[in-house]
Amino acid sequence: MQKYLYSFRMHLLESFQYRFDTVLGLLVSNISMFITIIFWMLIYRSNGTGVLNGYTMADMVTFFVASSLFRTFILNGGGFEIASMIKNGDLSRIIIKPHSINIFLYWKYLSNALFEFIKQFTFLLLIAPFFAKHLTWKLTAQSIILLIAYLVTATFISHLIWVLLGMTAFWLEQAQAVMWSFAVIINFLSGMFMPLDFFPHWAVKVLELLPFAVFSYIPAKLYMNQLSFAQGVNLLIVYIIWILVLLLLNLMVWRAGVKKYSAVGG
Amino acid sequence: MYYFNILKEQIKLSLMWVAIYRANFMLMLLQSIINSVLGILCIDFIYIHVDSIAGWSKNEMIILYCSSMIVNQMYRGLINPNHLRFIESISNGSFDRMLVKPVSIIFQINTGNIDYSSFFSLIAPIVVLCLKLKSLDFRVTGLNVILFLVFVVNAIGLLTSFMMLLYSLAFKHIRVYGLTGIYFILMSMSEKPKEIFLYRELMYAFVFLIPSVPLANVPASILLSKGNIPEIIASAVSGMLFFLVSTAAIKKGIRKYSSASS
Repeated sequence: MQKYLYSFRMHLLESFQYRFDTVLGLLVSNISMFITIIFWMLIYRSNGTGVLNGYTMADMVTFFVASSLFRTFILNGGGFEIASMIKNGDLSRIIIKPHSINIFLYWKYLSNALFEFIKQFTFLLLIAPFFAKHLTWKLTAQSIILLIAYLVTATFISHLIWVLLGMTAFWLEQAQAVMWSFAVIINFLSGMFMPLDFFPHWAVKVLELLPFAVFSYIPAKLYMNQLSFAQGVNLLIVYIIWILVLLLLNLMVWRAGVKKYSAVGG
Repeated sequence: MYYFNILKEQIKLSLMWVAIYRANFMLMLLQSIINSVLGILCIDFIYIHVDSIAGWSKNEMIILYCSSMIVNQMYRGLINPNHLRFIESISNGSFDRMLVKPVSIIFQINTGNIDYSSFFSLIAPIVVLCLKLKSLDFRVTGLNVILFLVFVVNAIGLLTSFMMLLYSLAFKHIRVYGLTGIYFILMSMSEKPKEIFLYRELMYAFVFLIPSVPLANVPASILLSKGNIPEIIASAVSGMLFFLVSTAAIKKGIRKYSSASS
């Protein structure tokens, strides 16, 4: 375990190295969120009633701000890294090392996620006084505990899904396309563009049970206190089952993939 | 003729790359099409709850979105891979090789690889745009279509120049991958109606400083006969200005460039 924690610390320190890129990334991601919020304000103005599908404007702003914060816990880097290792043959060097590649990548990208979260949280705290009146503040002690559990679950599920997609490189060699295809679908189904409540009613029930809702929709709903504790716990059990299913799938695909793997070069 | 022959070779080489990774090409094509479809679906879901947004009906909004996608896919297919290669070449020192070639540096920065999957996925927004045009209450004239195409070309040129201007910062800061995010912001802004800018001055700032309005709003407005002359002229002027400024920035950057390779 110590070796994974060491890599976690090392990658966290590495994240602080490129300050220009870091500040730029922070500005870019927040401008994007800001544009989405402005667009929704325009929709609310056009609608004229102040409430859309049960969401007030403050709810909508809160949803996007909270989502942007929680999405930092989506660990997708592991998938891209493993795909690249398989393609260029670097995996040969890695598999002979005395550590699990999957766990190593998890800690590596968890450190990145934590860095992104701290960055984003600090930025939001700094600008909060300017838009506090546009936010809803309904967080309770119970929902905080559940929220933390959800964010940890999100890191596991996202990492397992992306590594699974990255491992398609064993068969496709170039797995970028698979990963980008899924990225688009995952973003859509996780409520990145709009709360899932705006989807047809039957679809919401299904989407809540899929593992993607845990990335931002469910945590944002918890933050806004729109999900009861009991509902939250029930859904958490579903997502824990998803973790087990994905773990099993990862193991099966890894075993089959390593049998198929051949490295180019000496 | 010399540059035309180079372009021909580049097209051939990119096709050979596609032939090597055929599955990747098909999946990338699928991804781009899914992207377009999901965007349209989002608009559909929003319009369940509203009749119009700042005067834009559902079909008009889809036309705006498709116009943005056309510009986006053209840039992603033809220019973006080369821009990414350019900033990479500065950080790893391979830009030296570009400097010694007897070809214009601006030409080299903007051409080379073609991402065929992004380019061919243009089909999805074009088909949807044509279908939506048919379902409009009024008839789109030939002049509307010609002007639309002219301003789509202007938008691609403008986007290319703007990104080249930003990437010229690589000469100073070396690692500028964060700037690629600005492209996504620009595209995200371009697919939204210009009415998100409450003040006229602010809207013009998004024509001349961060050129998001000319990318899709102007072409779509022309097609829908909603455009106004000052905005159309401003877009054309902005396109020319950004081209001149970005070319000057690259030339200035080259003078400051010191190789990163040994």
